[in-house]
Amino acid sequence: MTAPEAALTTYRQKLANNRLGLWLFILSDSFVFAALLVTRFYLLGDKRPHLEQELGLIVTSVLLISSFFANRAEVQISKGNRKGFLTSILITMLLGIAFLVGVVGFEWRLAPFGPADGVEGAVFFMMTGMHAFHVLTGVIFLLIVFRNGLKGHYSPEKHWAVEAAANYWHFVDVVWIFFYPALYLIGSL
Amino acid sequence: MKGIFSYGIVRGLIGQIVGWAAGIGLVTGIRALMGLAYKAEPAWVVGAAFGVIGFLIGIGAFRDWFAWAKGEETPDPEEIQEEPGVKRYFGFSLDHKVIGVQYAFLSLFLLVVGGSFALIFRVELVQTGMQWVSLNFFNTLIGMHGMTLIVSILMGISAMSNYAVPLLIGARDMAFPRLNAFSFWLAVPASLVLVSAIFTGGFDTGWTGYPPLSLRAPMGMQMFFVAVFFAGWSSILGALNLIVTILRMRAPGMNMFRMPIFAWATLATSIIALTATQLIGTSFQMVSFERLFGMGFFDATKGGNPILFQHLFWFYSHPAVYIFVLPGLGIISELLPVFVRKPLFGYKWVAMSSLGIALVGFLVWAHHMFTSGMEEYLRVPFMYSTLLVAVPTGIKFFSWVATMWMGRIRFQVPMLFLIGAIIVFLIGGLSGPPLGTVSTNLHMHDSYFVVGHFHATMFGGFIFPLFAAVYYWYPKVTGRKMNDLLGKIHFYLLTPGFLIMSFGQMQVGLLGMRRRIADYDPAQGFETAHLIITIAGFMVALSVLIFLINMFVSAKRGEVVTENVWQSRSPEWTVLPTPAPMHNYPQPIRVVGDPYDYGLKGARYVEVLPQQAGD
Amino acid sequence: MQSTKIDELKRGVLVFLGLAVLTVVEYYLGTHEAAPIFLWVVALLKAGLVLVYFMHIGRVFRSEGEH
Repeated sequence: MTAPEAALTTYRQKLANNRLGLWLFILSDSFVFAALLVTRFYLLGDKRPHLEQELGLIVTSVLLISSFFANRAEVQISKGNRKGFLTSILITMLLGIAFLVGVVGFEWRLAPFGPADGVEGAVFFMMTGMHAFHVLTGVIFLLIVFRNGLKGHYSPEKHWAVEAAANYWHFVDVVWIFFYPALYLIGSL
Repeated sequence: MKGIFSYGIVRGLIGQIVGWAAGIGLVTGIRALMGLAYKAEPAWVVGAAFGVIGFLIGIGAFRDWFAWAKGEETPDPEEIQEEPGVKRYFGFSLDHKVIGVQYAFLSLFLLVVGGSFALIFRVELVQTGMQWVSLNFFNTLIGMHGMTLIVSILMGISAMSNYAVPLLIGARDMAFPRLNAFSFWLAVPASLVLVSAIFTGGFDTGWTGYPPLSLRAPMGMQMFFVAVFFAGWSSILGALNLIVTILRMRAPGMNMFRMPIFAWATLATSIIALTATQLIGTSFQMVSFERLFGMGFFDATKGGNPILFQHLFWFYSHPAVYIFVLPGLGIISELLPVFVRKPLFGYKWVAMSSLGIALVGFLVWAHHMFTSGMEEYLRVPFMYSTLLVAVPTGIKFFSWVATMWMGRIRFQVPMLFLIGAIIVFLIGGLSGPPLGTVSTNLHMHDSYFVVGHFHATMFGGFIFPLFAAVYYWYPKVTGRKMNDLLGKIHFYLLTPGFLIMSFGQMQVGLLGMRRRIADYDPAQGFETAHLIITIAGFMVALSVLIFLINMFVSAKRGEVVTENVWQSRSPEWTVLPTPAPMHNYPQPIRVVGDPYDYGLKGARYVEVLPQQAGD
Repeated sequence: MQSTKIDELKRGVLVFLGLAVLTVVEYYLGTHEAAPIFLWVVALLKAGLVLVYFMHIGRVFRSEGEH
């Protein structure tokens, strides 16, 4: 075994460790969101909070599209297409910021209740707040990956950071896949 | 001065103070900009959180991760050679053995602190009426005793698993050494925040922090929440690391069913800690936010429901007791064959029983809530699932007894503690079903019987095995043996002391003594019983003091040992020199047999592979 | 090698289209007072698509990692 081959083997073993670690983290974190979903149904039951339906659909679409571009970024770097990778990461990030603006900037203001106005407000602000916090950390993660990508850091063989950022981003999307119907669609007003 | 700052912990403490002040300043500044006056609670909550982060920055926990974020390379932990010496125990070391010892120190420190709290309120309980503490201080001590020792236990199991698991499975270190050090150092500032709860008003809810009482408790409540939140993250990240290590870093030839039982127990524990711990963090966060922002989760006047808190809280806090005891039970199964010189009876069943306890443990939480006013149809299902736990636990007992049966038992100090553990855990286990059964629970709920039961499970499942593990692996850490005579005195003081204490608590509980109360009616006639319990409690404390003296003195003056002290088959004794070197096994090892074949002729477990050329 | 990578890009588009259609269905069901169970099924389908095709959950079970 030559030295570069040995280094690649070590890298791949570490990669498998890292992957398992990230998945375990995601599993752990999903219990937070599960707890919030339980809270929502325990306290509100089959009633849902008064929210802007169109805005909900828009932010959901924005997050889904961003997930598409996160996947595209990862595929591009594994193909060696650096330019496509950087563009996709940038779009993902911008859509993530757009989602934050939509939820925190608009929905929080448009909602007819504040966090202290009854249990509806508590549940709504806790769920969206916790999710927005994760979106924010995801955006920061993507920003770091984007910056290191600009400096030419990742290669088709070694791009764990890109995969991790993308996977974390998809996880945030999966959470919203459950939160969106729980907040906007299930139950009656 | 420069000399002091080279100790990581000093930089960390300075960082915590700076962070704490910065957090208070930030909140106060923002509030001033918004035209609001200074308010202590939000400022101190943010201050405490910033303080924890400040500690971690100060000690250098983020240094490598920031370097990665900036796109720089950092050296591979396997190639770092840390300077030997005492100093690395006070700083950010990546060696799992150092971290294990650090965990043990923190655990024992918190054990002493939390135990002292108990001594204070035990003295108060000797007589009716209030003698020397105020009611609020008494309540604070009750809660602090609980949570300090819970953190101590979490640190203790991390100590055992961090030190032993990589050695047992033949790994060079944990899977993520930086994360490992991070999880330990996260717990240090968290412990300090927890202790600060006493000085910020205390809290009167006990360790469970139930709303609505916790919504109107003094500000110490918030420090308690912040501390538990960070200690919980420490536990989660440690568990994550252990799972990856056990699943991916085993020596070649060690398939899952050749793995030492302790690794199985750690795996089962870590699965619970990884997932369930999030629930206590979330539920405490919700109470904290309700206090800070008025979010009405648990306030019935706003449409909330306090029962929800209990569901979320116990979803962690019941499995948590399995987090506490499973590693200890694993230690019993791990060490028993060494001292009995016989193979472990029913290896596969014991291995699976740990997982069984872990999985059933997720389905039993509401047995804490039989009297809470929750939905009544939940009672009976939860009673059955609770009693189901006795099955895998029973398997462990059968295995221990069958392992000891006809063995050549050597009554060395670790073995004494193993026997003590089995006896005490049996008492804890047998007092469980009356509490898990709805009809009897309704009468014994919140009584001292619960206290007695719980302490028996914790001592049998954690304290005794922890002591056994310390006596057993101490030579591997220091190269010296702990004093045998002091060890025996420790054991013969601790065991009767504890049994008297626990039985006494169960007795007054059955007679109607409520838990967590500072005063009781003299007509109930509990004073003598309480006096005996208190004296027994001091016996336990004295025995632990002897243990600590033994530990510190033996590090300097103990009998020097280099060889396989306990004639163990485990690779850390047969292959490694004593004390264990950095990066563990200098040559790769391969597993060729089963771990517990004591007394079988020609049975082999581990062989050393020749060093690969060109490495 | 090259062809599988092109497939991955295409697959991303297809999965996204699937997610988009499911979201529209979800929105329609939600605004027309369908039973919650349907919404849960749609959400689970969407989450499954993301987990399998975007997050590559299968990769975690491989003993040696490759991108």
